[in-house]
Amino acid sequence: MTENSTVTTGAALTLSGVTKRFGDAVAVREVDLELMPGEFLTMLGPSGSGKTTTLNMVAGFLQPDAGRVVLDGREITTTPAHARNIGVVFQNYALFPHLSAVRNVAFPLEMRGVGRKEALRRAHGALELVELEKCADRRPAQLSGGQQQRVALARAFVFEPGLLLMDEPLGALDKRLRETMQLEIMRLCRRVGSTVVYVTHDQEEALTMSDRIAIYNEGVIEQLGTAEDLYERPATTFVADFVGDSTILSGQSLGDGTVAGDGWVAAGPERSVVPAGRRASVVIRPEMVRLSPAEDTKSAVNQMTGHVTDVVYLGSQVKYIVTGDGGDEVHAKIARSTQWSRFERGDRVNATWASEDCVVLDS
Amino acid sequence: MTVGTAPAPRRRGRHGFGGGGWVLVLPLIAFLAVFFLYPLVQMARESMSGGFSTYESIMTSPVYRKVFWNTLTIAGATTAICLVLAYPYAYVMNRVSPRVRLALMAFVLLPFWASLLVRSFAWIALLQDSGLVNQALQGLGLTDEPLSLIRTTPGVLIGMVHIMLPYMVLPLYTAMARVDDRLLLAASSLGATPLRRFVRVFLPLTLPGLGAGCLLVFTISLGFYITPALLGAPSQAMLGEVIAEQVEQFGLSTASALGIVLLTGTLLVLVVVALFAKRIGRSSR
Amino acid sequence: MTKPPLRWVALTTATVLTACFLLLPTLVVVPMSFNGSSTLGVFDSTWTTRWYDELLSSSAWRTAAFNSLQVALGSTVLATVLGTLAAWGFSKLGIYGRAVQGGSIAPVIVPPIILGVGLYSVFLTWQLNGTVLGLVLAHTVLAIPFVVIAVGASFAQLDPVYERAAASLGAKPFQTLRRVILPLLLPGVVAGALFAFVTSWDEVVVSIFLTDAQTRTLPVEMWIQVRTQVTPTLAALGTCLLLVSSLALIAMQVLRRSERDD
Repeated sequence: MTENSTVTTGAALTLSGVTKRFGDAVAVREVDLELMPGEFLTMLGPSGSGKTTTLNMVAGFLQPDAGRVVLDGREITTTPAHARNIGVVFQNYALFPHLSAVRNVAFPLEMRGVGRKEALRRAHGALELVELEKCADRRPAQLSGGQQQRVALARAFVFEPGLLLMDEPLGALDKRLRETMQLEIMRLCRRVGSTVVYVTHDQEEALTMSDRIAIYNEGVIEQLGTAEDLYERPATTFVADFVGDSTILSGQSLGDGTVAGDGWVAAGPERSVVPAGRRASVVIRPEMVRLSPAEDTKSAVNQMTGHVTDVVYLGSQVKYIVTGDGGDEVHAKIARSTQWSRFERGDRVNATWASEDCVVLDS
Repeated sequence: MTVGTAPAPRRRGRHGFGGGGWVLVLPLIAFLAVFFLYPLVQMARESMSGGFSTYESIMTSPVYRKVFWNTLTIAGATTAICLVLAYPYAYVMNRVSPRVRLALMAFVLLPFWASLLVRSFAWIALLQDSGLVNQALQGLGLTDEPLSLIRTTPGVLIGMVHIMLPYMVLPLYTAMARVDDRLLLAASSLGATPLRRFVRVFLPLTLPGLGAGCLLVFTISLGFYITPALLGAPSQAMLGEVIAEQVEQFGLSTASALGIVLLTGTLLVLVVVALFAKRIGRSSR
Repeated sequence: MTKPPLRWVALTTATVLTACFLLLPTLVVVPMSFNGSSTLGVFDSTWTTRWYDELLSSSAWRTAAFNSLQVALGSTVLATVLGTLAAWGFSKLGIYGRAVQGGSIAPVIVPPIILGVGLYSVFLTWQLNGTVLGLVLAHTVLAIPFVVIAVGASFAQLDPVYERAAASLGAKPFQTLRRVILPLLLPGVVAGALFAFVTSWDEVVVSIFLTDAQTRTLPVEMWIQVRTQVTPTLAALGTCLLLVSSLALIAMQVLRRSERDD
């Protein structure tokens, strides 16, 4: 890190049609990604969905079977890893056990021809930035998980790479430490200005840290967008299920954005049209569901009548699980501060939602 | 430091770094082929230099039969005695505080670092008529006259047990350390007396280590030379001594034949035990 | 768990006796070597260093010591080089490599006397009997399994992710080897070398067959003396050998300790 910490220009990364097979299994299938310089992109998805494999191909540890990787306009698909000038933070830190923290951080500088003294000076500067200056001479084995993580970060930053890759770096830490480190990583990334590709399976982490998120499922990116895009306008039921808590009702499409299910009819915004006769899913976020005592059984669109089968106290909210007369479940999350009276288990209620608050998707 | 398990491709080794693996292994293989395998082959050929007659004469000769018998019985006796001494020792090692355990372990490992020759002749000094052992026995009033211990079967057994004991203690200790204490607690809670618990739960669980130790001691004892030569009775010669004698007397083909017999015997024991262990392992599932 | 006293008294007694049984012969050489009595094993009340003087002034012992040292150093170097390269190769190979690695341990399983006879007969034709070179080659065979095991363990602990990390930080393959892999392997290699040294230093059975009057090693010289005439000088020698082995053992412990705490 230079002392006046000039902002590094982040690199622009493009992946086109990147594919990777292991034997018969396709781990990554025709992935396209375009990152703006300085952007923080998270690749989010369940284990085995292809996000780490993609990362390894960008880093140069694996060669794609098809497709191209382009960094700042230069194709690097076949460039060896050591020539790519990309910073990588590994899942278990991969700090060299035989070197002290500061020697670890100085390592990439020495590899680039910086003299020992100067490299150590800059390494100390990097450690200061992650507030580990006092642990500079300790070996990794003598550091805690969180400290090792920060040394790994410093080591990846110190040579000011245009692109930074992070493979589930916080997976081994406990919740409180993870939250602290998330903020720390964001702060550092913003300061340095590198483009960041971050891999995680923790959706909260993704939502907190990223500019944009790519949802991976079985080797394919199901949706790429901001947190808001993914949350409010999920493109598939997988995304709806994976990101945030939601109710997903399954029914038959009536053609004009309306879906009929067991004991309910939902009408989504007109643009979400699924051909009539097909199975469709209706996604409703729990905060958008209103509950009212079911005095009359007049049926209406975007309403489900049923019993409260579960009440979960979440602190700032209360979550109600309502089982409709037809058997389907709707989740509702109601903020504690509202004037709504608390419902009990067994109460008969109407769960309602607005048309623009639900999303109709092809099943 | 937590080091993650990298998803290394199983087809190749983990370090696909640099060139091929076989190139690096080749010098070692070549060296062992020339200086290890070839001498064994040569020995086999030498033993056959008179056709099968050498083997015939060995197998039918009562002298050699006795030698084989001696070798087997002494090796067996050594193994048995080692087991009896090593089991309690390993058991205690497992139950004491770490400090004491370290000391006990050091006592077991220390003999490894004193050459076997030194220890063998230390026993000569100790077991001779005027040696410490006899002095102690006479001092305690157990005997009036010095016991003749050198160049006797008891003498060689004492020496060999001493040398082999560490080889028995270590596998036993490892196997015992692996026994989950909770199993013993469970047995107690189910009503087992300490004796029952030992015989029905603890002992079977330590069987692998026991087997390993016995195998180790037995096979090493079969081919032993130094200690029996120094401490053993001339009339109770073991195979190793006889082989060396033959070489001294330029009976190379006989020596080779005997060597092949020893080698075959040792390998046979190993194979039989390996198969047996697999059987037991499978049947206990 | 309350321990019934009787059981534990018996166990403790057995353990103590066994410990004495293990230690006494190992350590008794030390006092024997300093005792004035000219009969080995019989202690009188005088103490002397005369046996050491005899030892150090005898040319036979000095030659033997020199031979031992030569052979031990030679076989250590050879075994370490062959074994380390092979262990590296094994770490890269899959199942077949594992099988061959197991095979390289074979010299430990075969009774040394057999190897002695075999090499004697082979060296007869190659005229290597009674040469230092022959001994070096023989001891290398015996030492190789230890090097392969020690260095192999080091390789097993070497996580492949370090290579990736080094590459991501800009290290070309040779730099990764020199700056990351070799330093991490060094403890294993040194341990293997020490094992090899002690194996050669104490080796007696095979050496008996392969040495002549000029090339005797210390253990062989000792062996010949023991069969003819047992004097306290042998105790002095035994103590010296014990010292050398102990130094090697301590060196190894120090090595392991330093690599762990640092």
